[in-house]
Amino acid sequence: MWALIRRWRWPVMLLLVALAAAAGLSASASAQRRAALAQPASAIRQLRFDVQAHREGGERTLRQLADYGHPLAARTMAELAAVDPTPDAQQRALDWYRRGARSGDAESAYRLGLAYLQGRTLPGDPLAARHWFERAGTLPAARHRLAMMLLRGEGGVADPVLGQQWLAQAAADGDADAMFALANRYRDGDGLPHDEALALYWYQAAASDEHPAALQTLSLAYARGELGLPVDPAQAQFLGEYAGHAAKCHTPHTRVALF
Amino acid sequence: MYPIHKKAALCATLALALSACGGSDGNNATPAAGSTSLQVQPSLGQISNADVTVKSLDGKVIGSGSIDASGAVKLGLGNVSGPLLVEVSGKAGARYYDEGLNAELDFPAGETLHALLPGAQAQVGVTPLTEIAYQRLLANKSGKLAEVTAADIGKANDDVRVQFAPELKNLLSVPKLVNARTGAGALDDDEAGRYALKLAALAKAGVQGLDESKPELAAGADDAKAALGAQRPMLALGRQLGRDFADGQFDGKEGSKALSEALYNADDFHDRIQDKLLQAAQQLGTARLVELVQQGGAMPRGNALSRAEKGTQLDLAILQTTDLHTNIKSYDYYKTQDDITLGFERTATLIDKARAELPNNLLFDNGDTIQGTSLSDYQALVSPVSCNATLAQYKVMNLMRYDAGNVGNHEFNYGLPFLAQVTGAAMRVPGTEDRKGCMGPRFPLVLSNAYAVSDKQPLFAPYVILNRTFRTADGKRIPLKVGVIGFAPPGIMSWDKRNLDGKVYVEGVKEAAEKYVPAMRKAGADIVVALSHGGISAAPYSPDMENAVYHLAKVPGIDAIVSGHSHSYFPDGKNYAGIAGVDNVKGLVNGVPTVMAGFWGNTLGVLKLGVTYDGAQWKVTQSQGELRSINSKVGNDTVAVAPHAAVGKLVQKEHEGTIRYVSTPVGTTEFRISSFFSQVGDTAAMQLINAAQKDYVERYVKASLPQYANLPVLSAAAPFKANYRGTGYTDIPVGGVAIRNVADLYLYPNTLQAVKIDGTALKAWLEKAAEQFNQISPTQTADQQLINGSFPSYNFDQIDGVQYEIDVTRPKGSRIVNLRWNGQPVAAGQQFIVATNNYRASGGGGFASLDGSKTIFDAPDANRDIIVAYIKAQKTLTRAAQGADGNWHFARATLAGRVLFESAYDAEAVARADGIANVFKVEDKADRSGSIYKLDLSL
Repeated sequence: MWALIRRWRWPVMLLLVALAAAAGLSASASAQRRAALAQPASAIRQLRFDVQAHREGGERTLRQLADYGHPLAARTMAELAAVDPTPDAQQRALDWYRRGARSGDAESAYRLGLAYLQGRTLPGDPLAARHWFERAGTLPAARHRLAMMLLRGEGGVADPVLGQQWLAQAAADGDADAMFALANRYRDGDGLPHDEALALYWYQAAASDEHPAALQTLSLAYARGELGLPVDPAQAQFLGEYAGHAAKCHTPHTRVALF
Repeated sequence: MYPIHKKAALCATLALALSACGGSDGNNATPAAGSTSLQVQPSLGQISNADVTVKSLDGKVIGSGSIDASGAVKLGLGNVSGPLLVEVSGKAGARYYDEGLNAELDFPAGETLHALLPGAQAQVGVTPLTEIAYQRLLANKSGKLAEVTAADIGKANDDVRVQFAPELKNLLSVPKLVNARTGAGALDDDEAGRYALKLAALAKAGVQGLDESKPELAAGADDAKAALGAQRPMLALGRQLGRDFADGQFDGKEGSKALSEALYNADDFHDRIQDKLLQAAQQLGTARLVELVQQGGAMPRGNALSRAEKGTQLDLAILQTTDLHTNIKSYDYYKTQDDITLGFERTATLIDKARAELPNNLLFDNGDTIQGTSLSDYQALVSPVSCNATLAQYKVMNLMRYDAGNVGNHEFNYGLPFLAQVTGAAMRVPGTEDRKGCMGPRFPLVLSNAYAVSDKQPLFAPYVILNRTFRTADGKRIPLKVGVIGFAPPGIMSWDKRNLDGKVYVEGVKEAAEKYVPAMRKAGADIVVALSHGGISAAPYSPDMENAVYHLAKVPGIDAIVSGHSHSYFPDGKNYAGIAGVDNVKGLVNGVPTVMAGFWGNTLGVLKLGVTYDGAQWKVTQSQGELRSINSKVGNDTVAVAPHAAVGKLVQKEHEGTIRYVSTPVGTTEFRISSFFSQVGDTAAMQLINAAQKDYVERYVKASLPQYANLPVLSAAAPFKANYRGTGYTDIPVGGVAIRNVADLYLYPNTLQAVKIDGTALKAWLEKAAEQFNQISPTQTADQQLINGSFPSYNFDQIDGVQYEIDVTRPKGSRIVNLRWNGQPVAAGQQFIVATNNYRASGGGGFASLDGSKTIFDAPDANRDIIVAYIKAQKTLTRAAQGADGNWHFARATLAGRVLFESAYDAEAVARADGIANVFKVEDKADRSGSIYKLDLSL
C-alpha cells in the first residue's frame, strides 16, 4: 500500500493542489462577486459622475460591477448610453437594460418591456413586453403599461377588470401617464362610467406632474369651456405655453401642483 | 478694522524723515536724499502715449516725457528738493484701458491726472485717487498751489487714502498695470495688486454709475462699449468724487449742493465698491486677493457704520426670481400679441414696490434665465448679440440692480462659448478663449457644483460674500456679510451632454454645499443664502438628485434657500403638502426658510428674515415666505400689474427685432393657405403640415430606423383654427410665409412624434376623427347640420398618404370606407408609420390604442419648427407640389334635404381653389361674420 501511495504521490498532490486552487479561485470569484453586489447605491451614483467626468477607471469599474450583476450598475450603464440618440448607442443601452432586468432591477425591466412594446430598437414583441412589465413588479410606470396591455388584450389574454385595477393603482402611485390614461377613460366613458369631474381631477393630477398632453388637454379645455371649466383665455394661454415647454424640455421636472 | 491705516498715518506724518516705513516692493513715500530720477507710472488701467510733466509748485517744469509701451516713464529731476506736481496729460493717440468696459479708450487732450508729492522720490503712481487729493488741495488753497506745503500734501493724500483706499499704505504707491492682456490671478495681495484692484473697481463703478444715470446711452447702441466709453466713465467718476471730497466730507455734495447727474450714491458707495472689488478680484486677482475682499478688507470708508452688539436685530427681505426663461416683455412672439400671464417687465414693478416697502433688501435670481423664448433664440442664433453689447435679459437685470444670480440648467443650452460671452465669465474651457471681457451682468453669478475639466475648478465663482449695509429699526447702519452660493441640477451632464461632455463635470448639490459652506463661514459670512436651481423632494438623497433642496437644507450653516426649477410655488399652503419636515405655510424646509417663486416672471418671491446678533454670530430668529403674483383674478378676468416702463424701453430694439424675426418670410407661397374648409374637405393647409411632417419622419427613419425603411410613412394633421367662438381661421395670403404665419396654422407648441400602427388602428384613428360629423339622414327633407358643434376641430385628424372616404350617412364607428394605400385596400395587419404630435401619440383626444405605446420616434423638434424648416427648404410652395391632393372626400349619397355648415364670409372661391367642388354658399350671415354653406354629397 505504501508503495502505491508513494508511486502516485505527485499526481495526487498535483490534483489536490489543482482542486484547492480551483476552489480558492471560485471562492475568491464569488467573494469578488459578493463584494461587487454589496456596493451601495451611493457608490454607483458616484461612479456615474466619474464616467461623465471621464475619470480614470470610472467606466471600467462601473462596467465590472454591471458585469457582476449589480442591478443599479447595469441600469446606470444603460442610462449613460441612452443619452445618445444613435441606433448603436440605443442598442447598447438596451443590452444593459436587459442585464439590469435580469439582475432584478425594476426600472431596467420596465425599459426593456417598453422597448419590446414600442418596437423601435428591437422588433416589437408584445408577449415579451408583458413578461418584462410583470417582472418590474410594483413600479408604477410598468404597472401602467401592463394595465393598458391587459385592457387591450395585447401580448396575452385581455383582463379588463385587472387592467382597470392596475391602472388606478399606477395613477394613485404617482405615474403621470396612468393618471392621464385614467382621465381619458373617465372622459370618454371608455370601460368606466363617463365622469367629467373625475376626468378633470386626474387631468389636473397629471398636469401637476408636468405631463405635456394633460397640460394641453386642460389648456384646450379652458380655451373652449370643456370638462365643466369656464372659458378662461389667460389660463388657456398659460397652460398651453407650459405644455409646450414641458414637451420640448424633455427633462422631466417633478411635481408642480398647479391646481 | 484697518490696522494698516494706523501704520500709514504714521508714515505720512514722518514723510520728511529719512527712515523708510517698509513696503516690501519699495513703494515708500519718503524721499531718498539726492535722488535724481522719478519713475512715473500712472494708471486708470494702463495708460499709453500720454505726456508726463514734473513741476515744482511754482510752475517751473523740472522734467517731461511720454509714457512708453511699458506704461511708465523715467524722468531725470536734476538736483531738486521740495514738493512736486506730476501731471499726466492726454493727447491725440493716448489711450487707457478701462476695466469696467474691458476696452481701450481714448485719453484725449483736456484730460489730466495729477499727483502731488511731498518731495522727490524714486517712483510714483498717478491715479484718479491722487487726482482727488490734488483737487482737494487746490480747493483748500483757492487754487494757489505755490502755497501748498509738504505737510499739506502728506495730509491730503492720506485723507483720500483713508476715505477711499484704506487698504493701501500710501496713495502715491505704484499700482500694478492692468491692460487687455492681463489674465486671471495677475493681481496679488500686495500694495501694487491692491491698488490696481481698487482702480479696477472704480472703473467698474464708473460704468455702472454712467449706465444708471443715462440708460439711453447704451440702450439703443449696437456697440454699448463704445457708447459708454465715449464718456470716459472712470474719469468722470473721479472728477465727481474729487468735487465731493474737496470739503473733506464724502456726502455726494459739493459743499452743500448735491452733485448733478451723479454717477454714485455716497450712502451706498461702500457697498457698490465692494461688489466691484469682488468682480475685479475674481476676474484679475489671486485667491488671497479675493479673500481680502470677501473679508471686507479693501473697501472705502462706510458712512456712519455701527458695530453689531448682542441683541442687534435686522429685518431683511430676500427678493427673488427664478426660471425667467427670457420672458422680459409680457408678450407671445408666436401669436405676436400681449400675454399678461408672464413677463419680467411686470415682475420689475413688484420689485420696486417691495424695495420701497422693505428697505433692507437683497435681490437674487435663481437661474434658467437666458433661454426660453423667441427673444432668446433671436439673440443667440438669429442676430447673435455681440461681445460689446449686453444680453437683453441681463440688461434689464442690471437695471433692476440684482445682487447675485445662480446658473440653472437651461443656461447651457446655447453652448459654453455663448455662455462665456454673455456672462463675461473667464471659463477655462476650450472654445471659449476668444469670448473674454464681454459685456455681461454687473452682478456676480455663482455656481458651486459644476467644474471645468481643464483645471478642476468651479466654472463660475462657487460663492460670493457680499458686504452690505442694513439699517436697524432705530436707524443704526450695520454692516453684514451675506454669503451667496449657487447650485445647478447634476442632470445637466445628460440634458446638455452635447455641450458639456469632456469640458465640464458635476458634483452632487449636498457634496458641494458640504465643501463650500464651511469655507464661506470661514471667509466671514454672517449669513449664508443658497440659490439652488432645484425643487423640493423628500426622496432619499443621491448625488445625481435633481431636486435636492430638502437635503440641502440639512447641511449646517445655511440660513435661507432660494428654490426653483420645478416651476412651482412655495410656500402657498397647497404645494408640497404632507411632507415631513416641510412647512408650506411659513415656508420652511427642515427648518430652513425657503421660497420657490413660480416662473416666467409670474411671481416675485419675498422671504422676510429677522436676524439677530447674539454677541458671536447672526442667527435667523424669524421668517415668513411670500409669493407676490404679477396678476390676479377679478371676477372672470385676469388683470396684471402695470409693466415697468424703463424695463420695456431698455429692450425695445431686441423686442422689435424678435417680432421682425418671426414676421420675416421664411419662404413664399403661390397660393392662399387657409383653414376655412379644412373640416369639410382636403385642403392645402393640412397638406402642408403633413408634407413637412412626412418629410421629417422619412429622413429620420432612413437614418435611424433602417429596419422600417420599407414601411409607408403617413402623416396626420388637424385644423386647429376653425373659428371656434369667433377666434378665426388660419388664412395665409399669397406671398411671404413667416414664422408667425406657421404658428397661426400650427397653433400649439407640440413636438413631433411618429407611431407605428396597423391597418386596424389606422381605420380606428380615422373613425374617431370622423365623429366630428352628425349622422346625416338621406331621407330627411329639413336642413341638417353637418358638423357636431361640440366636437373640437383639433381632433379632426386627416391622414395623408392613404385614400379614404367618409360616409356621414352611417353611424359613428363605421364611416370610413374605401381605405386604400397605393390603390390597394388597407389590410388589418398592414404596418404603417404615421407622423403626428406628442399630444395625439400619448393619448390626447382619446384616440384608441394611441397611448405612448406605439411611439417609435420622439423628436426633439416642435411641429411648428419642422414646418418652418420645410418651407425654408422648399423656398416656394406651389399648388402642384404642396396643394391639396384630394386623398379624402365624403362618400357620395343622394339626400332629400340640405346639409349645412358655417364657414368664412363669402369664401366659395377659396374652396374651389383647394379643389373642393361640392360646397356652395347658401347665404351670408347678417353681421358678415361668416356664411352658411351647403355640402352636396351627390357630387
